Amino acid sequence: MRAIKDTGNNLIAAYDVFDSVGIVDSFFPKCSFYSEYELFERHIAKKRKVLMDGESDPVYPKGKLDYVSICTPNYLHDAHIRFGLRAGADVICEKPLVLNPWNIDALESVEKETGGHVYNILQLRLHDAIIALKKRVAENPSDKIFDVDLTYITSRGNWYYTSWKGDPRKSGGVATNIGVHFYDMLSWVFGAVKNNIVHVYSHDRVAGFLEFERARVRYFLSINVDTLPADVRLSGKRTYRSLMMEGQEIEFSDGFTELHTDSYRKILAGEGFGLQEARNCIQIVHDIRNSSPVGLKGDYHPFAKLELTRHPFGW
Amino acid sequence: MGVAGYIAPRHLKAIKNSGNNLIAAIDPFDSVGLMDSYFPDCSYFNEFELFDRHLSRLKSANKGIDFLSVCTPDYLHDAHVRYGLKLGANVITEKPMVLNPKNLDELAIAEKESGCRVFTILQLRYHDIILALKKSIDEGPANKIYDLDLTYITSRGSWFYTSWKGNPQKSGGIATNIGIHFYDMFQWIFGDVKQNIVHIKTHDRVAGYLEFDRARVRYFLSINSDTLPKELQESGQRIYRSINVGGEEIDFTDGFADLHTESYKRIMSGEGFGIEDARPSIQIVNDIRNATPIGLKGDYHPFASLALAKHPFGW
Repeated sequence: MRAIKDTGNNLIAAYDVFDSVGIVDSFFPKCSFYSEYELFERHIAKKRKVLMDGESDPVYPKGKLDYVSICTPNYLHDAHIRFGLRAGADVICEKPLVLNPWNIDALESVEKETGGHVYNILQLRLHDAIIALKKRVAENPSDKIFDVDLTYITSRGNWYYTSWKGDPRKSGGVATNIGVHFYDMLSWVFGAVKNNIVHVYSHDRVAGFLEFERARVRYFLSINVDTLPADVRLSGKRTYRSLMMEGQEIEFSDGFTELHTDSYRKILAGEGFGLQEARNCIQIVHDIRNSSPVGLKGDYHPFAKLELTRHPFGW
Repeated sequence: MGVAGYIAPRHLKAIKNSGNNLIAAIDPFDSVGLMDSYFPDCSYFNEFELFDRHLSRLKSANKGIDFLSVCTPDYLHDAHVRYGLKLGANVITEKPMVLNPKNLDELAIAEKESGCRVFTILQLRYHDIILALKKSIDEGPANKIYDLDLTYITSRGSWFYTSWKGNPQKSGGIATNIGIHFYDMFQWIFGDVKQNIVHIKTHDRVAGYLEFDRARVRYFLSINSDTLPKELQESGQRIYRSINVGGEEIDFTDGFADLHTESYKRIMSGEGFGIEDARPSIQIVNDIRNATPIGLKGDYHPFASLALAKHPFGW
């Protein structure tokens, strides 16, 4: 909503099954809101008819819906992207764009049929520190392979497992849900994937090794507070983010606040990230999701050997 | 109960700031990540059966909860208060405690049977400005009758009508949903209701006249931004709150921030507001809800004559 407003656009209609949406008033007090999909769809379809009949509509000054923005649970992205395209709009969708690589192929043909475009939010690519990192890698000799450790721990309470995020069929699991933008960033900076090995994979963490053209990456992603380094835990912090390259920390903790607005600006300027841009990261998280973890063998992230935890729900 | 809703963060904060712990929470909507900022170890459920099962198991293990906090949609308060009592817990419920006075009679019986207490949040009674007003009235001449105008306009977008708040069966309508704490404050300061006349009552506003022992009150409550005074509409402000006592304006825009915490602290120290404290205001809104508006006759609030608006939904 902030990005839509800050880019000078207007939110015409919104949909959520959950009706605690008073925050809309802070951005778009005139927005229509629906808690049932049929009524939302009907609203859009009626306005679309106005466009085709050539009448003008005061709510839609251009007579048309330009964009559908999607920030629904991950497993619904594909369905909602299709809805937007068939409604004659371009689509802006949160990451992960879809859960599986073949969804992208199918969406491509819908793009073609409708003439619309799908754009993905991949905001790390707009982060200054990451842009600088990409530049640095590109300026090194092309045969230089970097050693990288990525650690991302963002603690979640038990609610996570009750929500759709805790259902791997809906969220894609931890790698997809909290990691997809890191995998996108890694493949954007270091090139194509050559090897994808998963060491440990559970409800609350994933540890693995990814070989890119220009980097060997050991990663550890977790939502379990017990996996935080002891000093971080003692300080009461619940998030830990570290990107080490050749033993040197790449600092990118700050600078996230405006990235959605930047993403919208780029899309409006015709520089958005389309379907093909999303393919690498979707392939990576799909492969991680469907791999068999090899356990503590080979070159694994040091946190991979932390003690595993049982799922908090023991019905 | 109702941890995903608009008012829940104030309860989370109050529970924490009064030195208590949230053991379990429920909401059918699972966007509840905010809990991590207050109670990361809290259990969360989106199905009532599982919530109930969890709490009854704790109770069997002699680890039952002390208090149940209810901030669910208004029409569910009665059911959820009863649930808490049956569980052997004291209950803290948002206002309105229930929708109808007759619910209070039955709750009083349930309270007695359970041996527990029901408390409601009436935070205006802790507001410094309101306390000062009450003091000055109490200390003023006993036979003086004050003339008051209350104007409260808090603009809501059309989402309001899609949500449960727009359904009078669920929210009790405008007077109940946005006005109950004002009616409570009036009767608390000025004594018993002698007359309750409704001039105008629609989906977006209510205007009427209330006579108390010590005051004659003309009120106007609205969620329609078109009813805001012109200069406010032009300045982009969406809220207008004014209490005028005998020509003198009382400004109480600020000072609301920590009143929920104060309410919790008082409840913990045995000074909470119970069923009989809630009764007068619930009687008032019940009578308003069931009154037949008499139109622009007698002593009505000046805003009562504003042009009426059609309901935004014209299926």
